[in-house]
Amino acid sequence: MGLRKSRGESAAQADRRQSRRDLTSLIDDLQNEAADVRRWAARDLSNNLEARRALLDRIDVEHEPMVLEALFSAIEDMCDEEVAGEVLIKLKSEDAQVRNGAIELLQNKPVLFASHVNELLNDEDSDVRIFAVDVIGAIRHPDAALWLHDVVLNDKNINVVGTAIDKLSEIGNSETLEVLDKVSARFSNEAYIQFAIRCVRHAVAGEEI
Amino acid sequence: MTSIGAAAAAEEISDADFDRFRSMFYRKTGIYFEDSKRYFVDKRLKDRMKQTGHTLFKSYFTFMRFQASGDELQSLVNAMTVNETYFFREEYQFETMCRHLMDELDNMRPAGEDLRIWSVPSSTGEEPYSIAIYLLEYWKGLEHRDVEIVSSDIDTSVLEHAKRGIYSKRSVQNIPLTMRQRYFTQHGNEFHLCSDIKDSVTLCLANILGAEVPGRFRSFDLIYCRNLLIYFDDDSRRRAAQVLYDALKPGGYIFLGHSESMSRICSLFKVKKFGDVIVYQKPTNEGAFR
Repeated sequence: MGLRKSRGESAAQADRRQSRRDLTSLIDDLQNEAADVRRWAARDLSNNLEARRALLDRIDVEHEPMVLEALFSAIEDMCDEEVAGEVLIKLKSEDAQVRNGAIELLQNKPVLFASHVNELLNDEDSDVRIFAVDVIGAIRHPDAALWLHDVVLNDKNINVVGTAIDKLSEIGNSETLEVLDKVSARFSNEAYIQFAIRCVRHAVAGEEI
Repeated sequence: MTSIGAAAAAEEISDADFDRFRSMFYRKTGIYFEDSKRYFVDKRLKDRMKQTGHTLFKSYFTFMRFQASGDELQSLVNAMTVNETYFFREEYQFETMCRHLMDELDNMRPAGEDLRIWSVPSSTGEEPYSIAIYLLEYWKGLEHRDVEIVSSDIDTSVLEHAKRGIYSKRSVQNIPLTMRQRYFTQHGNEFHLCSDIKDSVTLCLANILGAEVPGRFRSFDLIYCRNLLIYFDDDSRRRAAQVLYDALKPGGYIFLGHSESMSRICSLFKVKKFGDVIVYQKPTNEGAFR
């Protein structure tokens, strides 16, 4: 007994699958009772355009975290305008992991996200607007600070505004300071907003908190 | 963007700039710089500002933060992380392997089945060979259980270096003298690893995100994937986590580098602590290869 090299010619092991991996079988497997069967189906359907509809539909009913991770990974590389539109709807899901999966996916698709940003920031549900602000705070898009300025100047919900101010700590610029003066006046009686503004001023301009 | 050429000196970085950078860098990478690291951070930031032609921190920060390709953020990550390898680096993980994990895995697996370890990336071989030496020195289970060590890298030149097994004094300096004498032969300033250890590790070329990896790299009990994921973007990091999950047997473990956290990447693994050492475990009831 001891250390020994792999028995094969390399680390590779023969790819012996336990069940059929054709498109129809894999789509059927997405409904299987066993979570690991569903997860492997999602893994093997990654980037398969013919499976896109089935993968998106499964996200709506799937509750197993490991399967949801695989489902979002599977659609990530085939996320076009149409898929992005469906992912936006998932921001309204009751399932926190579905919402988080949608947010993470959108954070990596700045151009697709940009084409929907106005619709999201005007959603009647303030939670959706907060999720949109979360995405804006993380994406690489040259208009990100402008979008946040628009939120802090116009959104009426204090939680949405507070979230946007927090994101400005990282991506705010010299124009942000002027914007914050107006926000400060809008929420002059809100201690939390005033404190958040001071934090942004410290981050952007080095002012004392 | 203010850009006045690479030769211009970068301005001093203010306390507020440092805080802003530190906060962003922590959110992106999970690495937090204490105030005591200020000199280290400032020096590297100013180097990158100079390289990219920015004299003002604010213009550099905006450039780096919003660059569509993310290349500058990656350069900054490379600059801020110490990318060096040597024998017994982060030795506490090898201790945890021998004191806890190997016995647990030994009890979990049927008699006669090898325990399999994947070290990725191999780099120039210090990590997989450290694993081999540590197991021989400190794990008694080798008397009744065979262990296979597989190590892969995307870079053929480092694999060739690993296969040669010739190291500098700096590379072997953490190995106790008696062990160094047992496993290496000194030739001038070079330390030549003995063939028994070299022969005990399977070295192979592979890209962890390559299409062939999920089929080839499977049924591992333990994976070392240290200081690799930090160099990936968010999307690649999540995909790599799925690959690592698939490569493990149920109940298998994975070590990441000390500044990395699987919990920040995905929720597939259970976090387990052995003293101060964090290890990630694939749940025992999940994920057999289908």
